[in-house]
Amino acid sequence: MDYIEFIGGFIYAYCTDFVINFANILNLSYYEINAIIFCFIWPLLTLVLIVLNMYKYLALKKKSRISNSTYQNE
Amino acid sequence: MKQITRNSLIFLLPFALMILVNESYRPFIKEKPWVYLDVTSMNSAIYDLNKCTWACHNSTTHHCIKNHIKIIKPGFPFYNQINEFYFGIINFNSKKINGKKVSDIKYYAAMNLIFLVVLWPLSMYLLLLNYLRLRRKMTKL
Repeated sequence: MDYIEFIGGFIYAYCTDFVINFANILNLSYYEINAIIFCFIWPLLTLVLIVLNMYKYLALKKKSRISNSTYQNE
Repeated sequence: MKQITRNSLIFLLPFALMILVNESYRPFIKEKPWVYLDVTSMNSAIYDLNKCTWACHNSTTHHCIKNHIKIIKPGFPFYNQINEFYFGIINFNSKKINGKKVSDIKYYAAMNLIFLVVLWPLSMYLLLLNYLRLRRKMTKL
């Protein structure tokens, strides 16, 4: 259990250090980098991916229906 | 085989980017590192006015927002909504007893790891893989 806690703590600290370092490299703040990642990029990317998946799924369904009916007509 | 390689590369790319940023910045950190959850971190927890440290993590409202913000400040489009969403995530990940937030760093770190390091990125990864799979299926038809 202690080992799992240590690994979890290490990953958390490394990820937080990444945000701090990235903020210092870009001359922004810790708060701003977090806000950019978790309030802009990730929600937007998730939304775009959901829409793309839905669009592709519907397009695929439509295309397979057309190709099936063409096959039956032949 | 080609697909497994591509999927593995997509999976590993964000981790590689994080390691690249951290390890390229490590030589520039001169201060004594802070110990968080028995782990020695890279940065210190000094309340520095010129750069961000763990103090910004520990005291975001009273230190980081007061002294370091450059872009997202009052007047920025959707400033209030960004703040609400940002602190909404923090409150969601914090331990609550009878609806009141209590300080428990282990609980907070675990919740952050579960939602922000595993579940959310994993769902984006799976959505991306599914999109690529559908696209490939479409071209085969």
